[in-house]
Amino acid sequence: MSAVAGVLDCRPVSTVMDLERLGTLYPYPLSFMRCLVRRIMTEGWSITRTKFELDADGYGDAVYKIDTGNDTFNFVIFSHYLDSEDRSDRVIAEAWDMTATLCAGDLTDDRLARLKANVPLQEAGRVDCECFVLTRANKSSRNFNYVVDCLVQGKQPDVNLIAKVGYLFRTTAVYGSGKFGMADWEKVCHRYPDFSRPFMGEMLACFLIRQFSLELADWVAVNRAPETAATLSNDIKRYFGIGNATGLGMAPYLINHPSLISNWIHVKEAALSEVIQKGKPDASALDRFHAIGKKAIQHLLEISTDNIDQNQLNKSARTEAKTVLDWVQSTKLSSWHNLIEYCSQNMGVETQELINSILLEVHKDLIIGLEEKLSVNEVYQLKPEMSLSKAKNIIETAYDWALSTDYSDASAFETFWYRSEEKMEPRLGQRSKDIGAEKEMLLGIAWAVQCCYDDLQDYCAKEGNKSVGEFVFHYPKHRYILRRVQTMADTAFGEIRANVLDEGVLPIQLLRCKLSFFGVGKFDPKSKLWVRNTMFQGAPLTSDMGKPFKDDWFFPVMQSNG
Amino acid sequence: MAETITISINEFRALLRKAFEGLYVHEQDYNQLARLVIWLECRKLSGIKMFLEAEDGPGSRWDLNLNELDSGEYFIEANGMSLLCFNDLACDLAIGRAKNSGMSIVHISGAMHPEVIAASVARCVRNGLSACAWWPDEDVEVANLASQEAGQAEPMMCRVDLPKSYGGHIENVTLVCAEKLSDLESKYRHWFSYKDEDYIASDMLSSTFTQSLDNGLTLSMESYKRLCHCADRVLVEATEASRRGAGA
Repeated sequence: MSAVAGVLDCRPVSTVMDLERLGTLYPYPLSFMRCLVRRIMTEGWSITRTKFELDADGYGDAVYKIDTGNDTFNFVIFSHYLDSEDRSDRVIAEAWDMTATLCAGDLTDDRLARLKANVPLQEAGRVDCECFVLTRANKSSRNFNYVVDCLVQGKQPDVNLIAKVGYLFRTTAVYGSGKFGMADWEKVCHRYPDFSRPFMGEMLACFLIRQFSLELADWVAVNRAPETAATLSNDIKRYFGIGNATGLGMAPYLINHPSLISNWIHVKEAALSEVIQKGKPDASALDRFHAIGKKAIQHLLEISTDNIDQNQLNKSARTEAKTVLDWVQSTKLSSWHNLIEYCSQNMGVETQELINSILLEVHKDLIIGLEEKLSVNEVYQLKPEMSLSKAKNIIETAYDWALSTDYSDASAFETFWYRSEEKMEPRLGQRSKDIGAEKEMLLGIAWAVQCCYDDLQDYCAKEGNKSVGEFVFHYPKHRYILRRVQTMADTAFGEIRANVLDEGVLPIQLLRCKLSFFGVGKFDPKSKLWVRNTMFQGAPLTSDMGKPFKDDWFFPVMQSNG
Repeated sequence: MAETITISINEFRALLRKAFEGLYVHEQDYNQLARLVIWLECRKLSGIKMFLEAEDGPGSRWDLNLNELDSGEYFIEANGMSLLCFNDLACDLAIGRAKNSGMSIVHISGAMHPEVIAASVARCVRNGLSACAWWPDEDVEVANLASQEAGQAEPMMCRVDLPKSYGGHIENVTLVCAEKLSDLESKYRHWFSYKDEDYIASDMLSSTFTQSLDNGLTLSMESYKRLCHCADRVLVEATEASRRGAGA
């Protein structure tokens, strides 16, 4: 059951859970990166570099100590030489420019030696059960070398040039939740309250990779020209984020954690509802709306991507957002509801969601309290006592979208998802021509629901209205989908409404949905299967900790040099 | 000393899910099967050993018959299958009937690994019921009992003398659950006299679980490799064509 109450005032479920819409979501004040940075900046955390034993080229070990007030943690980094030919964003890569782990507990020499022997191996290594994030990143060679060259010459890099990429390092995987010997999520969330909300540890790891990447550029430059090298100005440092490459691996996560995803969406919708009901479009709010709107348009303009579709989406969102700003200026709004209605009638889905995020920023004070509702205890428990007629009814009402998928059309069933023997990498296959369909992952929820519904009807016709427990004894293959259906029917927003087996499925829509909840921006799709993006661009630096904080680093835009 | 590996519960869960998926493809609820093995292993009740015994032989071959007796009790003929593979289905029957009728009894005949039924007792209680189950011991006059009342965190397990008046088949596994503890007490539990020397208190089960969560589970490398081998059945051969279906 969702932790957030009140769904009546939210948008219709069929609108919200449509995958095409979910694939246009923008970050908002409760995105996880925003939550983390607010926590770091307002709860008096300290982050100290306690080890930086690198050679002149930047290879060696570094440790950042994080004191949250509740606990002390260490982020342990190993920086390696990597031949450019071996630099790859793919999961199947086996070497990286840097590898790191976030861990609790003392960092003795013995432990550090064990970590040094294992962390650089990533999936092939084993870490201890006080570690809770394992990650790696590669340099953006173009940007890193350019920035270092500028610093060596004693000058700052040209922001127009660095804006094209926006980061010095790019993460290619961030593992948590007990993988490779690390601590279980249950342990982390109970033992370390600072990381008890979704993905807080993973977000901190990315934040610290960014910090390291900036300090590394300074270090390499100053070692190359000790007398004359400049260090990056703080304004430029803030403009650098940390890159990220996200592929298919994230998509199964969304489908396998429907309760969690449904809750995140419920929180966002509840926040939007709160703002529409309680936020007043008075002069001050309208000023903020215009200022943030202009910044958002500029942010979209600065996104550099070769993807034609994304460029077109960004362009039309900019144009439409400008129209919306003009309309707001020329209209006397009595409530924000007028704006939402205007957008839903006149603007594309991408712009509607952009305007929603802007509105949530305008009134973020009204919604910050919802942050604590983002966690949910995921339990998908069968209710065997339920009658089959009730189960059937639930499917017909909550899963009508699944029943309406026409699987007699072969294209609706053409895609299958599987794990490759190469590092268990998730991949997509075409059923009509590729091998492996017999080993497909169970991700086709609409298909599974239809199969279950058909058998349930047949069973009822023969046996009468028995219980779900009796049905699944005879049809154990439907037990999983039935407990999922029973669980999700109790949630406010239910499942993502998509047939991911369709020939035309766009996994990047799933990726963008999840990444928006992380707070990721600047989506740069590289195909329909993976996307590059930027995290923490515009965020404070560790040197900003302890200073006044405005929580206004969203929709980052270029600063002029110096 | 045998080589071991320590893995987290979540990693173990993922490995087991794939192992069960490799065994049954999508014909079973492999997430639930994985949870069951974890429940047993975290309480040092030999979940992995049972899985490996079952997957390698007739214990995993699906061959179940269900009958409903005139008394309303369920009777499952397992034909040598491991209870590990269908424990939750038996438990579904028990919970469903108890919630709808106040009480339920499930008899299971011919099952390998009868002690798995202890997990059903715990699951019944998580569903707000009280439950007990017994199954045969090597000593024919003695039964093993798992019992848990609503509100208790874990079942207690012990060996008991069977009452002279016991009319059931001693070789069967029997699971009884009821909405009211008094129904369970009056009908069954007073039959047994406890043999305290083999008693496992519920708080002992609880503490072994907490230890597993804190420190991970230690598996022999041999068991781990066998589990990985089972899990690898879900992997698809890599080809140039398959690489085109990969993201970053």
